[in-house]
Amino acid sequence: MTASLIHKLASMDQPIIPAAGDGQTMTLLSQSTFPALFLDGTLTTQTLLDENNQGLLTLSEYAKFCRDMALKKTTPLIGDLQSGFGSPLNTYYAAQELERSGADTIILNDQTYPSHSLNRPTTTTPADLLGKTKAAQDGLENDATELWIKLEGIWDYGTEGFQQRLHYLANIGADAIIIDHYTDDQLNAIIASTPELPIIATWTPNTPHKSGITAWLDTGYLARQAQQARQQALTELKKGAIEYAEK
Amino acid sequence: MLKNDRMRHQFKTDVMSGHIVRMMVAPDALAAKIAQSCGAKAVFSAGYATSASALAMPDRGISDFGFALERCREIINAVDIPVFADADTGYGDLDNVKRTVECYEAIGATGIFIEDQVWPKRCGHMDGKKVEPTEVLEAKIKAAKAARKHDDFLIMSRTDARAVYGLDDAIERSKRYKAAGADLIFIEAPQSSEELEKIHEAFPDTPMMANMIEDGKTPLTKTEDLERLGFNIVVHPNAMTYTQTYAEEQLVKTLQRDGTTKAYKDHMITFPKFNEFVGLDKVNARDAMYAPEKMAQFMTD
Repeated sequence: MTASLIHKLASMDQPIIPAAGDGQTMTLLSQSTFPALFLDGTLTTQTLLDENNQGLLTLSEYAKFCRDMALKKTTPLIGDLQSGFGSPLNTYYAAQELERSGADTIILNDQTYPSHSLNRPTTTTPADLLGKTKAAQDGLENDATELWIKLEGIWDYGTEGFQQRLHYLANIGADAIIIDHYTDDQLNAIIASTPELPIIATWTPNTPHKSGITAWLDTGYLARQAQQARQQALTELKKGAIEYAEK
Repeated sequence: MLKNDRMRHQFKTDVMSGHIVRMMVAPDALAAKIAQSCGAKAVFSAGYATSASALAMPDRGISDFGFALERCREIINAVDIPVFADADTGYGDLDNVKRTVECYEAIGATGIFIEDQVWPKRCGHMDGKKVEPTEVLEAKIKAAKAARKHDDFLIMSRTDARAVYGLDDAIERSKRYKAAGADLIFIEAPQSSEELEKIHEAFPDTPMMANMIEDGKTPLTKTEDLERLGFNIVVHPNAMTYTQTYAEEQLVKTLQRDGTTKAYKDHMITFPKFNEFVGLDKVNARDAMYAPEKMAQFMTD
């Protein structure tokens, strides 16, 4: 289904890939014309566990939900491999499991295990990341399944460290790089360096488009808006309950 | 060709080959791997065994779709031979049947059977069964055929009417299920060799399944004899469950009696042989492949 998702994205005008973590949002997004949907680990953790820490969600729990959502998909589904759910050996089986569960593209991040939903997460060594990347590649059974690597430590290893990881990942054959937790200057520097792999950047509202970016990866805009709407509705509900009681 | 596609194609080819496909029902992934290692061409994931292994409960409709699907998925992932599945009644109405087909197809099953018992169903060889009007499974077969994405994901009809209304009714129902689109026919619990013959005579050109249950209603018949009778699939649904149960019971009795398992050790596989069987060496080798020093080759300018 996504034999050339990254190429398809490159042919578009910096599309946004929306993130979801619940069925109703997935359905809503499926009815729109997005090129792919991301089943985000943090958003799924919020749905299934009522927690904000993606590291609490185990592979089997996430994969089950992924299978349910995959049955509904009308567009490529991107799965969240987090940091591989353990060592490179775990990553091998986890990538296989997510592919079998219907993910057409898989995102592996460079955090240490377990992953956390933080602005400044701890990242692993380049060698460990490469081991996990190779393991994920080997675990995939369908040549069409893409593997994107999400680098989350530019706040720590800097632009130079980011470029070094990107280069290593190009050597090993990753399909694309996602940059997260970046500053505008850092993103500009990465783009200006003519990266060897397609760059996808995480997106929040008001993020300006930049040439050199292949696509933008949403971080849960709809979920945050929905939560605000629920808060507002809750206020109305409480107000209504008080008025009813007073009558 | 991807594994799921390969398995469906292989199973359909085998079933349509004119030779009989013999399947053990595997209660779990380990049992399925044992069957594969002994040369089984396919395995079955079915309710009696899953209900027993997952819940230690009888096959009385207590184990649900979630248990059955997950167990079947575990089995599929553990082996490289086709896995056919028991989908009971389809777990509800036509919407449930649609979901059942979609899910089993997605996990890589080669097909499913759906039966005409009233839910909660019971094992086909238990007393007290009730069956729905024929129209119910007819509609489910049509819904299943409409829901499948691949023509070689086989839909088998199962009728339990033999025990309720007799063999003639079971055959008539199955003719209607075939007309509704069933790829394979299964008449549960015929009570003699003559009835097995009569079933084949009623469906000379449709692949059929026979069910061989120890202490069940149907006489235990050799695979070769069932093949001569015209059956294309034979399933042994309970043998692995009964064998596991017997062996484990003897083991625990030995331990209770002796305070050690020594006297039972001759009936066990050894530690090294078991580790070899489940592929410990392969897993360790894979683990070593991704060691940091092996990644140096990619860490170049």
